[in-house]
Amino acid sequence: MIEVKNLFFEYPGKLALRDVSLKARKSEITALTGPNGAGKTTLLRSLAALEQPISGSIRVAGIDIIAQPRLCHEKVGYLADFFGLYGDLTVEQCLLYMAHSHGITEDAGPDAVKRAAARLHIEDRLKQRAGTLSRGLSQRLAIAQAIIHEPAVLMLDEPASGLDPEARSQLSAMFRELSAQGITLIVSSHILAELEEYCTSMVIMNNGEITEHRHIDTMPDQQCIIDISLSHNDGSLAVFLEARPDISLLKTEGATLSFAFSPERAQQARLLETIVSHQFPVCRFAERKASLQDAYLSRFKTQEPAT
Amino acid sequence: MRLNPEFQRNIWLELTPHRLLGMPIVLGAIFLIAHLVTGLFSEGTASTAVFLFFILTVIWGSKLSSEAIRSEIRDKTWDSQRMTTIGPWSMSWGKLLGSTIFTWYGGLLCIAVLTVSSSNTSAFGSYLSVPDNLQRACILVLTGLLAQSTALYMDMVRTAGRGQTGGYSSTPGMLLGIILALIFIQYAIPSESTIEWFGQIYNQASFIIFTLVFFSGWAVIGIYRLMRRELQVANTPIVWLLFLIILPGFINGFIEESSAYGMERLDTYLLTIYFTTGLIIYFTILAEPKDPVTFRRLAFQMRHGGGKKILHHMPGWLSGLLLLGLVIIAIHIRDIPAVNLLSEPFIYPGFFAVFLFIIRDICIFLFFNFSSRPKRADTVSLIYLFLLYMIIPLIFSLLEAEQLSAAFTPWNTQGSITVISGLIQSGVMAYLAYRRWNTLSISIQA
Repeated sequence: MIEVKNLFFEYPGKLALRDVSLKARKSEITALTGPNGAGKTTLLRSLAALEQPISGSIRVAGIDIIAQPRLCHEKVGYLADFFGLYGDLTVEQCLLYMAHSHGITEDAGPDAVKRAAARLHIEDRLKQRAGTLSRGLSQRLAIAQAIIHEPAVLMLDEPASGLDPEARSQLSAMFRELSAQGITLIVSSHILAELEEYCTSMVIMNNGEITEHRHIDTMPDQQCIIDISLSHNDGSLAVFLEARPDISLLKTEGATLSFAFSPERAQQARLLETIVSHQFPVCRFAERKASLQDAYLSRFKTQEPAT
Repeated sequence: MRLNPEFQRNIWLELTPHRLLGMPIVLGAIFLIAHLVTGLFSEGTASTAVFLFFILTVIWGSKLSSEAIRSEIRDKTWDSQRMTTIGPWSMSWGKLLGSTIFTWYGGLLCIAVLTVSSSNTSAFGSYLSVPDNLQRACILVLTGLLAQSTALYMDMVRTAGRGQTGGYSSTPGMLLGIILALIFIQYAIPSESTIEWFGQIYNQASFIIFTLVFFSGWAVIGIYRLMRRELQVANTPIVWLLFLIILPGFINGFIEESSAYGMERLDTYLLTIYFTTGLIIYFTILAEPKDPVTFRRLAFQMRHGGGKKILHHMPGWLSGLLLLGLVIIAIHIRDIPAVNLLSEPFIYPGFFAVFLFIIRDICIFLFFNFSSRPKRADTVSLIYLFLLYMIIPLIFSLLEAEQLSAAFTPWNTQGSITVISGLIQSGVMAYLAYRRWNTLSISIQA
């Protein structure tokens, strides 16, 4: 559905995308993540044909969007991280405007509005002014506007930012629903715990490059996460763990250290034995499944330059 | 038939029942005061109607149209509009007429009152006939349209140039629109005057209508082309070159054939293209994006693209410069006498020297814009140009070193010195600009 090859994008004084290549299949939900300034928004805007890259190729739903950027707007929906709504229009007028702007006929417009409103569960708000909606409902309206023309691909930049936990949960459910309806989604976000709920693959970007692209179901095969809690932490266990080549220390929160390690029980037993034999005051040793956040931290840990 | 969605949206926003009712009430109250002071549908009412029309369509209309794109960017709705399938033409006229629809509502009410007043009184020396009334209404409407389209055009120029965040002032566009309207609205007063153009005598009102259509038309074409660029539709420089050729044609109509210098109409036409293109190149170099990325795209297309793709990425000043080069060759072939349009002595190599100095000036703009911190690059460039054109020649003149002064003034009569100096200066600046651009490219790639 989406195929990006050797994409380069430059802002004055900065190469924002370096040789980016990417593929996403139909109905996939791809999480796009990485630190601030990694190039996520630039990549999404290039995929939405809002920006023109220096070189490379992008095909979305079979359309070469660098050659024919306008054509792709029939197939793509995009929601920017900072979006605006026409606050003085009603929800119905906002949706009708978008429907007609996407070439939906006068007769078909009201039906398209009802369908999009139903998908986003805002049917009861059609007569309300957009400017009076809550943040969560505004987000829903903005997404409804982006999918009113039933695009094959929907791209969302930080869609959950500023939403309360309930609204975020509803958003996750909505993305799964849209994916089940055949829409391919690319969602850029920093909130990895939520991405995990609905995404099928993850792309990690850093410094304009894709450093990792993997499918979620292939993630936990080789490593798991071990959490060790100490009665008191003087930092020496972190030094000890970091010295071992088979351990990738992810984070230290107070007296708890998390690291990636082999899922083999025998190896874990040997590790625990070694730690205890070194007199570290261990009070908890627990294994858990690797989360997106762990994968993300692991990726950036391995990229850190040696000091 | 479906209404243009952008126009429809503006109607929803601008023509609310409250506003539709409010405008005639407010205007009616003002006209009532005029009636009480000067009499029913009197000269005073007519003048009030023209004044209100100016306030509504020219001042308020220019303000609204100068903010049509800027407000979308500021309110974060521009991207969602760019993501629609509305074409550049529909978006252009939808914004131009849609954003100002309420001012036109009031403006047309004013024209209606003006027409009734003029038919009822001798407000302008005599009762106005229906054709006269129509002509005046045309002048007023076209003046409003010219002001608004100029303001929107300038808004879009600034968006394309540097205002992607919308953080720029819309005042210059609005002011330009108002100034143009002030020039033309005086012709709304009926007159028996005539205008000579290409040796033919035309009725003043008819000619003003033609002029307003000419300039409003080009402003709308300009908006359309910038809208294409905003909506990621490629432009070729053909329309821009047509403008550079047609505008001097219009101006040339006012220039008398100079038999004293043996110049034919084609000669004055070539000279007009030469001078107008030279001036317009400076406008485009100021208005267009000059960041290194723009030139990286052009360079990439020159290496890997084709002829048409190169044209899509060609800056307006570059196509203007190419036209200027061709015109200089034509001037040389036709051996046009050594005069300019002001009938001042003008040594032939001066045409070429000016061309070289324009290249130098463009390279100065590019050099400062290619810096790693290009903030206020255009202002810095203008200061350097002031120094090069005014201060340095003045110093040499005061030192009575006229030949050195000539090295910095292309209009000077010291032909060969000026040309050699222009060659050296343009060559040095082109090298410096290229080197800076290249250095920046290498540092970014690393």
